[in-house]
Amino acid sequence: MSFNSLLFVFLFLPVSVILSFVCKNNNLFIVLISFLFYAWGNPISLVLLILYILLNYFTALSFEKAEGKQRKITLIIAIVVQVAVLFIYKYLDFFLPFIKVELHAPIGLSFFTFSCLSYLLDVYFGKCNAQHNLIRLALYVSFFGKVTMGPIVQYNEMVDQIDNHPFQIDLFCDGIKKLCIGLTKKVILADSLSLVHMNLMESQSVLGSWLLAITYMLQIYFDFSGYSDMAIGIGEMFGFKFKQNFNYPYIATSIQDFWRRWHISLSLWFRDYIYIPLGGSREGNNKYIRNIFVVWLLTGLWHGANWTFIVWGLYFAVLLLFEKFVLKKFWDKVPKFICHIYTLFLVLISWIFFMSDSLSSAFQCILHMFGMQASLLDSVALFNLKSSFILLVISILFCLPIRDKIELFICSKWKQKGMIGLVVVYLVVFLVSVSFMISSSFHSFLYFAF
Amino acid sequence: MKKYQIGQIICVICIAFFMFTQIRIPKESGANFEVVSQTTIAKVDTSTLQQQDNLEIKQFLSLNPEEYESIVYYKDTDAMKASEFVIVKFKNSDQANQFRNSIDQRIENQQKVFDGYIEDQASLLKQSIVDIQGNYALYAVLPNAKEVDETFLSVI
Repeated sequence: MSFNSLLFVFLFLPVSVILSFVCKNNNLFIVLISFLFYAWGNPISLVLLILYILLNYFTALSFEKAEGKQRKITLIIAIVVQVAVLFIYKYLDFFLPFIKVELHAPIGLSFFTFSCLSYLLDVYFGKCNAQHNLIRLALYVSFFGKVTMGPIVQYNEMVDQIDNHPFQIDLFCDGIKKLCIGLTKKVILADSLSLVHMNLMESQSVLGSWLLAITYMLQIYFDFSGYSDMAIGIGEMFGFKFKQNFNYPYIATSIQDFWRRWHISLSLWFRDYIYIPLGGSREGNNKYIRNIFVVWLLTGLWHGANWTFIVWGLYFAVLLLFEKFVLKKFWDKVPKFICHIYTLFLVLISWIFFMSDSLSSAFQCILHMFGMQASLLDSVALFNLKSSFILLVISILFCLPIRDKIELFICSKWKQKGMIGLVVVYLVVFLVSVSFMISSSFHSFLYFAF
Repeated sequence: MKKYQIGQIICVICIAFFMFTQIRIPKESGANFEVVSQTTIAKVDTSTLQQQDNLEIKQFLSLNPEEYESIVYYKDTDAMKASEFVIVKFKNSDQANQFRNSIDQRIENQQKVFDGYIEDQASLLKQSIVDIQGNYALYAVLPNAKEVDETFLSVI
């Protein structure tokens, strides 16, 4: 079941919310509906999710009172098992291609594995106590708002809320708003951009290649941030406050700034559980460079088992080091619009690796973008540019924080009337999104693959 | 504390057993795609079916033909008919899952169109076959889908 399906929007979510309200946001009830959500369409995967919950439950309790070597061994066993499962499902074919096996990775494996590891490491390093209540741990790992595609909420951020997430009308209304915004981003913008992107694959021209990259850049943003908005909104409807996962990344003024705005939960996870334990930037330049490459290699690999993702990750490692050791000295003096163009251009190039099946097709696309082995224009590119011009303009505008500013302006100028007007607008947008859902073919979320 | 360690070990064993039950050894076929498709298509009445191009494959099936080693898609020229079939050869076995998801969604969308409207076509959809065999797959919504599938299996 996906957040952008009619079944979820009109049946599963409203029934869950109503019943949860009746049960006063009871944790057991939320765990059961989360299991139902996760098992929908593939009940076998639920077995692995439950085994993970139990494994982490027993592991944290067993090293809570243990000391020294025993504690470390218990932690290592649990981490190795979970990383091994992830490796077998996602990376076996890539690293050991001579081993021919067929395995279908459970949806959200990368996400809930990272959630489980966050729990273990937070308990191990003393940030939190081990969870004695299995239902509370199950809720943290399996909450349906985040189990399949994040955000990767760290255990220490959610632990206080697990037993204290009452129904709050303001939060609930904000959750509905985020759900509407996320749904709109996904079914109107991302899915429309996806069709344009697919059409542009036929183009071999400079214009076509640029449009191919730009449409993908916009599509992946609206797809993933749309999902995150929906996930955070659903969390709020059940009384949970999750941090934002995207903060208008395409207004970033440097690559470092971009990664403070894009998939924030993943960046923070790698920072807190890999980068800082490795020493961060505190142990000299050599170790800092090593740590950056390790983190970004893993970030690339997390996204998929392909050389394109590895290159994508290492590409950002190089850029971040370049910014730290070269640009930082004078970057503050550079005009902001140049910083924006620099960042957007480099991010655009990175998405070419992300969207390509292979390094050769990625490089071919880049060559086409710069006029090599490509004509300037072709009919496919021109047709798609003309037919999707308005879509592209609207998409670019919605990459900017204009919606927040418009809302603030309307509320401050017209107060209650303004708020009512906004509610009407959101309702209309929701209905338009539903009409898109009914009329178009299903497009699953891009990040479902992780 | 010991009971928790025993619990941990039991969970590890259960996870290992679960993984063991999930592993399948794929049966890859070395058959030539042209041979497979022509032999299979020979069993299909293509008088009302038309081969679709890449754009139509993307539009109707949400599949990107360039991602696959080979793909052929036939669809009924009459919009009131659900008959169609796809033969595909994957570049790698990971594509099977994505193919399956797209086809399942295609079937679901088609059922929404025909259910309660043209019942014989809805019934045809219910009998559709999606057969994934290693690096080959067949999707058939045809009156003789089983016979076509048997031919497909015999040739790969």
